[in-house]
Amino acid sequence: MRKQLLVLMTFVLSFATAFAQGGVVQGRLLDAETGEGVFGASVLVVGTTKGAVSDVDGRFRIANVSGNVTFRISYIGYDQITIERSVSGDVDLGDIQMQPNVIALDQIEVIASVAEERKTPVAISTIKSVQIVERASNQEFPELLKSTPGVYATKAGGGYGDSRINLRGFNSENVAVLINGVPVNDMENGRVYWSNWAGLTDVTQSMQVQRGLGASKVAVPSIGGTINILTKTTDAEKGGNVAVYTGNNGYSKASFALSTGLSEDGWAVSLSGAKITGDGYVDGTWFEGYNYFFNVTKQINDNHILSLTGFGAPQKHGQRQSRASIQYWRDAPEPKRFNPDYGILNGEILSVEDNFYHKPQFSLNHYWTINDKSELSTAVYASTGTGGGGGNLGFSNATAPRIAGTYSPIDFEALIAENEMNADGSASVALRASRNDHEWFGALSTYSNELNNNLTLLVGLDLRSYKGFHFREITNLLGAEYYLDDSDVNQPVKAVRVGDKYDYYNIGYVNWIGGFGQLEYTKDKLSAFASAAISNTGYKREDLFNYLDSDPNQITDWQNFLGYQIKGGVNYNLTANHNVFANIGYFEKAPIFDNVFLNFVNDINPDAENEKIGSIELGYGYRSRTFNANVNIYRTQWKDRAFIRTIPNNTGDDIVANLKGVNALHQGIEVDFVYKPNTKLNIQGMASLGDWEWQNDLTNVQIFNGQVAVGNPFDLRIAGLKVGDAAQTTAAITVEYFIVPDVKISVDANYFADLYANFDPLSRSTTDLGGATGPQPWKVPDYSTVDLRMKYDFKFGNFDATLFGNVNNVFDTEYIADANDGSGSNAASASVWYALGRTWTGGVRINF
Amino acid sequence: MKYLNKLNLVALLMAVAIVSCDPLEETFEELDNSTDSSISADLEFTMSDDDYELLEDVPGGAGIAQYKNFDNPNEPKEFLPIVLSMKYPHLGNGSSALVTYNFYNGSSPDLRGDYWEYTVTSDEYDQLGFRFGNFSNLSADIPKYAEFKQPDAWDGDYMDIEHKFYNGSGVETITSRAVYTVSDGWQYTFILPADSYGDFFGESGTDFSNSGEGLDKVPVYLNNFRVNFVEAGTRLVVQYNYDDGEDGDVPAVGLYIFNGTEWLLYNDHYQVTPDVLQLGYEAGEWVPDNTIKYTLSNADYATIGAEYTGTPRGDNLVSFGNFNRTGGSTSWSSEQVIDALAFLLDSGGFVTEEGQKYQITIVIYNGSTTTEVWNLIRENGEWVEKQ
Repeated sequence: MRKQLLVLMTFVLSFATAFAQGGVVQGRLLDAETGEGVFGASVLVVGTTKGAVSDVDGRFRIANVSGNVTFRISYIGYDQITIERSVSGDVDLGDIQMQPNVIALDQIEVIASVAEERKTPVAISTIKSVQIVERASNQEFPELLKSTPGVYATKAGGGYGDSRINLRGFNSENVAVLINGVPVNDMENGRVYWSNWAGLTDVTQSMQVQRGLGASKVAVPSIGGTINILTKTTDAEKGGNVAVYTGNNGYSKASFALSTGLSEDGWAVSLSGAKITGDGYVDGTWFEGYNYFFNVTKQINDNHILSLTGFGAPQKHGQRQSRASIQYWRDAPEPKRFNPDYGILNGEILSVEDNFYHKPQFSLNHYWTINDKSELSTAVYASTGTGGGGGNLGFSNATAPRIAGTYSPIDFEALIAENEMNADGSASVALRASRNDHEWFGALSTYSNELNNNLTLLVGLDLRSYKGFHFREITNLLGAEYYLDDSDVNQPVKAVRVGDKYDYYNIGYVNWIGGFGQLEYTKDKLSAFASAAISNTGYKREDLFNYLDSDPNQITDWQNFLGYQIKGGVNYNLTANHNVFANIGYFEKAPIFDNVFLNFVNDINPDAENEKIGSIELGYGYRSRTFNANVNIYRTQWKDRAFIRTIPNNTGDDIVANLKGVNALHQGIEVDFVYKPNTKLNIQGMASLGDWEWQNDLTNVQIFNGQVAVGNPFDLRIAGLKVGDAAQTTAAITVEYFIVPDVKISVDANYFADLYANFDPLSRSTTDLGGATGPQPWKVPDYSTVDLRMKYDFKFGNFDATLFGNVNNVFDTEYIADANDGSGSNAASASVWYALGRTWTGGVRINF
Repeated sequence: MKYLNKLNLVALLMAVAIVSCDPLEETFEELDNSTDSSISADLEFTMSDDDYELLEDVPGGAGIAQYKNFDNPNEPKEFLPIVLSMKYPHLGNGSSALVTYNFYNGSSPDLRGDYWEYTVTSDEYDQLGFRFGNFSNLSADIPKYAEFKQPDAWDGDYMDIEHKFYNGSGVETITSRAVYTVSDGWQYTFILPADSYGDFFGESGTDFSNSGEGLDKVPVYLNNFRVNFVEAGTRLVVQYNYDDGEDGDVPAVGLYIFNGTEWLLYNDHYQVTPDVLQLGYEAGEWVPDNTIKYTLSNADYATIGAEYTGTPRGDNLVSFGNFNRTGGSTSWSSEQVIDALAFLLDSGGFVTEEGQKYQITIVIYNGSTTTEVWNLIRENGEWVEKQ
């Protein structure tokens, strides 16, 4: 009885205090694996509207709490935590460990060379799945990064998957992209085709931009930087979600995700899929895309994990490929939407320019914890690419007949009538596709050994085998019965029908053998690394159309190029707040396939040179509870940039000249910060000032064919010309505000300046020796855009649900983000696209 | 603190809203200014009397205003730009004009100048290439000889030439007359036969009542007797007699031109002829321009492709139907584009006169498909880029 009384007393007392004044509950959320603060997690007091969001340091604070309460702590990518506590007065919950809910994340991060803050001495920005989900709409990988320093991303022509990204002024050939550690730059030309991955954002766990040399251990063309994409692996927790979205111009998306969780006998299966369709903001840029992902993981025992991952994103979409003069767009009834590259047939849209691709990638990963000190992580992967881009045959979009004047779709009926005039049933005009299929197999293996408490050694192998099939096929004969092609020497008179190859058919073979080693040293406040990678790139070309089957020249010998990279860096954590880092590196990169085999035949360029890149970078970081900032400066020197000039000799044959000594210097300063003054407000910002220029002229260049001078000597006058195609000055600010803990609104503002039109430096060559420097490319007007986002978490029956909404380019600003320089290097002669106007999407996602 | 944050937020939003207003505004202004804010038009008109009279007070233009024609090939080039800028002061760069004007081809022939008499010597036959020692085609041979003797003749000059003539059966010695015409140089002169005045024209003597009557009636005679086997464009000077009121049988001449069906008097039909000059507005002024604006057709790409087939750039052009201008190995350099266009212009169907200009629009690929405009001019028998 006494005891009961005491309990009652306590209850009453605590009730009384609760009414009088609640206590302050605080704590700190830590990633159980890295020990770092978990930023952005929500802490809710169940049954109330009280709650908080953790700051960059993982700390949270909720005022006015009292009584027996339940805290629910949740964050995407981590197991949910529930804490019951009787609160009276101020309570410090202390450090709360949050368990990442994925299996083998560590190991994949090693394979993928994911960089860590305050440890890896490179400049990084990381986008987590929670940020991707919030923007979950028609934003593709490149655009997700647009508020990151050094990044210039645009939607290019505006088609689904047609986005592009430049890093520190370098285009995609010089930006390494890794998905789960597997390099995905085209093995032949080094480019990244983002349309291969359109829609894959759904299954992305994180996306890290490592600017400059980056942390990659394998040799990758990271002149501008590395984009490291990690897909989901296996969720340790059972559950899933379904989501539906809608948006402008018929945008529609439905997706699901399911995970079995890790069973007692060590199995885990995850599945997800989505379908995305729409008509496109730009006329004639319809799209139909899917994405799928699966992962089957078996935890064999404490030492072995086997994981099979497969994903892909098949899509087809209409494109806008033609750039045109500003005046052309300005005169269009709807400048931002008009598209000259599609037509109408039988009342339906028929795209001249379209794109279709499917590149599934499968990888079998094995993680072996050999002992306390050493691990072996191996990924064996296979990927096939099937698809290509559509285009015109026998007509040009610029001069094609149109239904109702310049600004109307192409009149396919008129083109068909043109074919009907051919008595022999052959096609004068048709639609075709340029196919670029490939088969790619590879293995990536990293062995790590902690030599002692401070020193870790990593060594590895990087093997790749690639076969690329390049050919043209007819996709639509426009009423004709066949197209007469004479390109195949093995069958010089060929009636080509839909699906048949014509024009060219060749196969590129690439064999890549690479090895790498890295030493990592960590002691107290210091961490350092030194790494070296060496790789042999072998190229072989088989040409089935230009050479007779009996001709031994139909296939070339292997052409081998040795590339290597060495780099090193140091990070020093001055205090808990300040850190500084530096890195330096040099690498030589094999020439791309098209610079080895010239003229699209099996002509071997005997003088193909490695490109040489040197880079140095300094960085500073500041971390505190409310404010994080990074500053870094870089200087990247690109030497012997490959330039090939073709000139006819006296007999009319083409002589190919490798111009050496063309250098570019990219240097700049990048600043980014996160400021979180209180639990309701979160401000992120960045500024990036680049100074990217062509460095030197080539003067009085005489091309020789053996001993014979060919053509007139010329000057290439480019010293001091700006590097085009990417804004040299960018800035962004994101303000996120929690109106209540469940509702967040966000504003993203981006500013772009010093964007110069893209130009071919060779266009500045002149036979007027000693003349003036070629004209600076046209400077595109500075512009800025504003995006709005909204997120609302709510209960849907027993399920957690989230409502998303976002509007991009809120003010419907008319601006130019992509421009090619014209003959006058001015606004009048530039050929451009207008960027997209206001677009929106909204959706709801239900977790179970 | 709370208010401060909200204020900051509002300020920030306002700031971004302001900077994001209209990035292209200045570019549009630049584009508009680059054409001098002026209007461009493609004119096509015929000079009216009023148009000629605009030149009345222009130095050197009084005569043109009076006679309503130009009499020197340089005059249209000099004066039409003045007319255009007076008539259409608002037009600017990019404009073109196709102007039809009257050209005065020179006075009609007469016999008021110098007179010569010659007898053709054996040496002269040899010298002029008459290897049989006679003339056989009067309308061709007589002017040739007259030009040889008097290359600097002028209006009103004439001569009589005694020469041997092969008449189809034998050689006889006759005298032929040559009269100088301003429009066509020396011409053989057909002398109206004496019996035609009475037999054909019904005159009482061997002359017409006045010189005008002669000029008018001679074609009737020519149309009766000299139309078979005569080529269109044939010129003939005819001498006839008239009565000047004091003396009879005064000789006079007229120039007649056969138009394919009938003979026409030069004075009425050919002395003033319409001609056309194309002009363009370039760099702030009208300049004579024979530029033909032309866009390459699919057939033209095929023609060029066929010529360059086997070269990487040629094969690329055949495949894509455009010029690759990316700078890569299948790319066309500027020189190569000019070569290809020159080849096309020489392939038939194009005007290849010296000084002819073409403004050619071609479809190119420079990362995307667009067009380029090339200006070519025919100089010294070759097509070169006109800067």
